[in-house]
Amino acid sequence: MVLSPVFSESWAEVYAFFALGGFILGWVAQRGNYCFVNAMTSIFTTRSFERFGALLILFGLSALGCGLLVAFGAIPAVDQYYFNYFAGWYILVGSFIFGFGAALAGGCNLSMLYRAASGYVQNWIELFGMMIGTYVFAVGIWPFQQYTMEKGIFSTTMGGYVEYLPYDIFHSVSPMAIYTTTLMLGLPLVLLGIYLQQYTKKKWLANLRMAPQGLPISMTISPQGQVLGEEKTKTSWKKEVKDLLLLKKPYGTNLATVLLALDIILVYIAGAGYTFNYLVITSSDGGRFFEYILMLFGVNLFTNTPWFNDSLPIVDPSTLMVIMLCVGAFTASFLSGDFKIRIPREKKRLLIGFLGGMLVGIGVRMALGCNVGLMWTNFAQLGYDGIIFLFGMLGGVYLAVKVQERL
Amino acid sequence: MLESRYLRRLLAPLILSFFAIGWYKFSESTLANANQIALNTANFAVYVQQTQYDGYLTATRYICYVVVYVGLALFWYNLVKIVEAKERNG
Amino acid sequence: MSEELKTKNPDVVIDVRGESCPVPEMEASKKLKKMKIGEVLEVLTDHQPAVDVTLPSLAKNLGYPFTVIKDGDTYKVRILKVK
Repeated sequence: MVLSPVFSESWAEVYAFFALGGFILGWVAQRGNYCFVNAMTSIFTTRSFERFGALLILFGLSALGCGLLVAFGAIPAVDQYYFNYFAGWYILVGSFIFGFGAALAGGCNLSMLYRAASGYVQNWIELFGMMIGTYVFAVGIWPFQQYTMEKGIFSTTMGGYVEYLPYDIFHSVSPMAIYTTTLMLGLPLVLLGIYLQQYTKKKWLANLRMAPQGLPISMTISPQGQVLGEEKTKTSWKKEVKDLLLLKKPYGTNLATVLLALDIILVYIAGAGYTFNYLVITSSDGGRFFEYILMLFGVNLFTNTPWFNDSLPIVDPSTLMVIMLCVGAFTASFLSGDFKIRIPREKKRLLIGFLGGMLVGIGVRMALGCNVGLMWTNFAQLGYDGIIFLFGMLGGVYLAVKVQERL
Repeated sequence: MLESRYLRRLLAPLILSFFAIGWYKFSESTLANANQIALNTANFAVYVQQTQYDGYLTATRYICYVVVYVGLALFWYNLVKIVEAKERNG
Repeated sequence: MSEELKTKNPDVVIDVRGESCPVPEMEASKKLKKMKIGEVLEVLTDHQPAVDVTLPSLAKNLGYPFTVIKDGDTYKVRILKVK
């Protein structure tokens, strides 16, 4: 397998595109409060499938966008499957641990970073916990996991086309095989997502009709009782756009979904043939940040520590992407007036955040990626790890919700 | 003593600007040094090719310029607004 | 009943300022289960998404009327348990 660049770009341009992709990711995620964990906890706490449906739409649009670009010859197939992950027991176990830890700590990798950049101290603690968890994984678990990957014990022994659905289903990476697989994967996800959102909205409407007459469902009033604004069902689209651009209103879930899907496609096209051309967060947060901090004290983990010494280059485009994600999230929260240092009232939340963060660090590294870097990315890669991760993460989140209810 | 929300509006953009400068300086010295160590120990899984590394530094430098300017602009804008508000309220 | 939600002192108040999802809606859900019909729960939060999305989702799912009062940086989300 050899990567085939699409455009003739300098490395500075590739890094710049990834930085832009990261900035957009952080900005949109912050404005839309896009949290994968929240989308899943909502199923169990508020019985709402609205955000989970949006997640499925996001995965479907990403698969359709990236897959069709390959199917129609704009991007070589190898640039889509080259970086496909291994598949094995660690994806399921890791995603379960990740889901559990993230729901306990209060954020997936994406929301942890953009909330940390918006001033949430709990997420700073979670991030620090993740760094420690990464180190614990590297020293305690990675040697064993690497052994099972090399020997093929409940694991594939390579990634790439082995984990590429068109190859797995049709034993071919021809345009027609890729086109068919893209539609088979992308369309049902989008349709299921829309169905789940409509189902939730219908349920709410039914509940609305059963509410006592004469009582408004929602109203924003000042302490003196003056009505400041009511929930409107229709505003002009010009005002809507103006409010969104001036950061007066947060982005709706579906708008954020579409923007994020376009963002992953931008990065996919810009990085094709050069690097891991997807929105990959985990290559740079947690583990790498911990390593960078230790470098300041003259400790170089990459010289002798498992995982750190064979997994990632010193600095890759995703590093800059993650930095700019934080910058984008901070800028969005600051300009919209949302930035504030927020410390939980109950201090036990900080301890839970740290422990949850450690589990996030362990789970993420075990699963070879996080909700963005593995789950979302893998749908765009037309792989099946993302599907395994989705179910594992749901299981972990469910358990965490049950534990939180008893805390 | 300034209220916390004014302090927030002034300090946050400055911290952003310093962070950008800090990250660039860190990349230029510490990461470059680490890359050299990786080359010397022949660890090519971790080593970044010089052309790629130079591209990273170029991109980071320009982004640093933009972030610093935006940070300083936000700081200045907020400073003017706060002084105006303070003068209006006496 | 609209006056009741606006003016009545809430029967139960939970302060989740500084917390982010899923804590506000989880704590609110836990308290609502233990409350009597006709009682008002007030959630103090400064987490915008809880005000915009998750607490309204909880109320809509349960069919409980709710209202939001902005008091400086803090939001008071009042939910009336009706059934």
